Amino acid sequence: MESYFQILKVNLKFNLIPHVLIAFLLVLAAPFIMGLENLNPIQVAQTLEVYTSLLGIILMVPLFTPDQDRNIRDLIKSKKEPMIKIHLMRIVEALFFLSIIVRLFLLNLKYGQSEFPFGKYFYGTMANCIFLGGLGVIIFSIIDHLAVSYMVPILYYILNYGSGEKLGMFNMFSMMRGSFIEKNYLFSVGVLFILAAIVYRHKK
Amino acid sequence: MDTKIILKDVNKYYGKYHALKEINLTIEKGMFGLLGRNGAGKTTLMKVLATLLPANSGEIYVYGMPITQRDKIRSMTGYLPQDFSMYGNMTTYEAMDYIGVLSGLNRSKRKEIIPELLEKVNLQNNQRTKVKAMSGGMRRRLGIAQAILHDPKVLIVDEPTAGLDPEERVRFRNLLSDIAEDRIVILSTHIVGDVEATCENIAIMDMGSIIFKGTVSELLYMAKDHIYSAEISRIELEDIKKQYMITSMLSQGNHVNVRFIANDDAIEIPFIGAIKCEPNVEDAYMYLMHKKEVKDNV
Amino acid sequence: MFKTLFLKECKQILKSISYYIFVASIVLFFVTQIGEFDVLVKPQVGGDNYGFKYSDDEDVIMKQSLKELILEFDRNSFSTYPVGFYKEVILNETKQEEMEDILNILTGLSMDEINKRLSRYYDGQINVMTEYGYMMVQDGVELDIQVLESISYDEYLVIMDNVDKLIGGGSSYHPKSLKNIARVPRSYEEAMEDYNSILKEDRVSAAYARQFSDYMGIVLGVLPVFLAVTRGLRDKRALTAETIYSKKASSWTIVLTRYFSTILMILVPLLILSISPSLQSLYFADSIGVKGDALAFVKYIMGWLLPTILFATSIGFFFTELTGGPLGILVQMAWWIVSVFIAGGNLVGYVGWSLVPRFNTVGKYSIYASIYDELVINRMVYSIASIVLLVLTVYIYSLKRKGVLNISGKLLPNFKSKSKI
Repeated sequence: MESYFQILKVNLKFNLIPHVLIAFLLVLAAPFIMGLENLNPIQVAQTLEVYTSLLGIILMVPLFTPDQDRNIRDLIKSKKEPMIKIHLMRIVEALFFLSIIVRLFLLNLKYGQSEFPFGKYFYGTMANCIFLGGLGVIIFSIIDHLAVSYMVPILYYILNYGSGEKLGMFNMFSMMRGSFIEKNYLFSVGVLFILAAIVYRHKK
Repeated sequence: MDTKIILKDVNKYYGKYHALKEINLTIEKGMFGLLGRNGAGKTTLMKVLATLLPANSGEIYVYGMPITQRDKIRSMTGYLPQDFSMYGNMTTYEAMDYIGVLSGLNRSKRKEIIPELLEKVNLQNNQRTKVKAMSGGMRRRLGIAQAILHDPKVLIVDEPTAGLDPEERVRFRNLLSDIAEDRIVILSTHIVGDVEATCENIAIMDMGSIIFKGTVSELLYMAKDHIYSAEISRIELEDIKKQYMITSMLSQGNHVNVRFIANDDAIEIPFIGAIKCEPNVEDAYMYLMHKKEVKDNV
Repeated sequence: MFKTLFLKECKQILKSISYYIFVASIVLFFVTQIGEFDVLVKPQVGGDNYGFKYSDDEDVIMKQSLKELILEFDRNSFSTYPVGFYKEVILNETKQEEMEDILNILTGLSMDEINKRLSRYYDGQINVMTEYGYMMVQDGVELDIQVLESISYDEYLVIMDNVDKLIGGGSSYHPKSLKNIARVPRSYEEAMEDYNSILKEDRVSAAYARQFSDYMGIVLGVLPVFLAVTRGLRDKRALTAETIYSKKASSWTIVLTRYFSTILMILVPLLILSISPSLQSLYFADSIGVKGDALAFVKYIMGWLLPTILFATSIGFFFTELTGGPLGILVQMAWWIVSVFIAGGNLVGYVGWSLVPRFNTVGKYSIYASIYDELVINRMVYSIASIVLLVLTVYIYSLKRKGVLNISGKLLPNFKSKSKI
């Protein structure tokens, strides 16, 4: 049990902190750049899908950065704790913070008298975050390039603006049109991306 | 013209940690070896000489030029860091060319000198090898070539032989000796053999201070009469280890040939069977470190 | 030395995977977003819609702003730009009551009466299918509520100033912004005037170049930071930092060649991408008898987009040098997200302090003329900020080179102990 705790602590301290801070700042900045009070469900969906989704990239993409260096990776691999476990712990930690921050955002909306189904919207937002984050993580796992693994999910996100419908079931901006089915696809594929990324990283 | 490096009362602190203590040193043309344990302050001193770290006090002159004239110093020194590498996707030639530009060499000069240097470090057949595909030894040789690209008056090499196999190490030492013919080459190492083979003048550092400076023969002279050897049985070894500082040993079946440092006051032969012998550099270095430790403990 | 090193840096960029992803991204974005060429349509006599203009007529301003105020109040959703950023304001009950009082003073009508007339107005609205295939609501009957005759324009301005304060400032009712509400349909002559200004002032091509700048600005507000961070981290990853520190080349030369080669390598694909819409706009201009400005796209790329590119690149270089890590990516992403969002719904002519000014239309020269000064200031501020960051980057690089800052960017302990004394 202690080793779990230690992995989480080290990851938070040496890796995750600045990302959590930036994500948190973006949540704090939100009321200054858009209205968050008395929104109808469509407006809430818009805010969540267009703005909050990006937190996924910020919090999840740095999953593999602590052991990006080949030597460090080999060293960690040689230790008792399997690397898969470390990576799983890290992603769980990132998702934990993500869910807290998204929840804070939603609570803020509720507090501002906006109306929306909390659970459904929470799931929808997390699905978007996980998809974008998962996309970044799998890119990193394969090509080992931090900048590129941020670029690809951002590009995907931008593509949703003009060509959302062309993306079909992977349209990230569906909730604002009242459709939730896409979220299941985004969520499952996002999770799949993450798992594949971790497994591939381990095999590599 | 002044052809020396002169250090006067140089001090360097990392916070409260006193990394260089009152360093006074004069380094002349040829190979100069800086010997010491890991963490003795060698790398710090090298970095100060390469203008990569400022000293907190003291004066340093390189060929008469104060070290504060960073730009001028940089154009007359070449530096090979401990963990030298280059962009992995560059070939040997591209890496040299890139460094050549950074060193302010024009195109024709680079074209002329790079093949010469690559030949000197025996990389002439690896011009198209990418840096990421190089072995440790090749990379180190590329490091030397890039460091002398602008024909510096001073070459500073930090732990150049660490991680090289014995054969490569010998080749590398010889390369450095060649280079030292017409300039100052400062070499830091914790491997005594590096210094023994190539350096006339040496300094030994420990805990930020210079505890010896002079020639190799002076170092050997200091240890004269203090080094003994004996053939003992394995059972006796533990006892001897407790009493004496062993500088080297060689196992021969049930027997062990040990060389050890006798205590300072031991004028007589320490025990039956021990023979006084001529110290080598390794012995002398160990003797010096040992003596300092004893002194520090008192 | 500068030129050779610059070329070598360009060559290095050409070998990096992030550069190709960058190029692929902007090409993909260009293809999916800009797509086909929107042809400018000359207003025809007898057409039914010539667009809108802003009126100077005080009566019109009062009538329109009152209507807007009542509609916003009815929705209880006020658009404001308090610090140049879009913000929706919702009034609480006390403030709603205060607003009711103001409306009562302005119109002489009770809330019940106002609501009655409002519902008549809403009932009269008709849905129209637009040519783009979506439904648009059009007024069927006028909203029958006027400002009392006894209230003069000056008195009206004072009341509106109060309204603005009640909303929290930055609303459309601030006396200075009031005019922008007074949108009135343009006549054929006025529409022709705008059309002609596109032909005359924009020489057609500039109108298209603005739309190009609007779209490309969105991606260029974030993507350059990745190239900058990639370059910045390469020294650390390849363990070349110290070797390069010890060379003769000045810190200015080293940092500036890296910076400007990155900028150039961003501009090249952008300029190439602009060739096609540029030629199309020139052909189109030719077809309606105007000699287009062949350099319009280049001018807009240099004047409008370059500051965005410079800034994103500077942020990347600065934070990478400062922290030795990819923090710049996070900072720029945050800046970009905020910049994209502050425009709110105002996609034609939004400037403010956004890194990506919006002008999502072809033409509308009059709007462009009205935001021109603001745009110039915005672009200059971002350019200056980029230069300042660049100079700071050189400074940090030179400090690290001297050993005053260590690689991870934390001040060395000796630096701290000095400051303690």
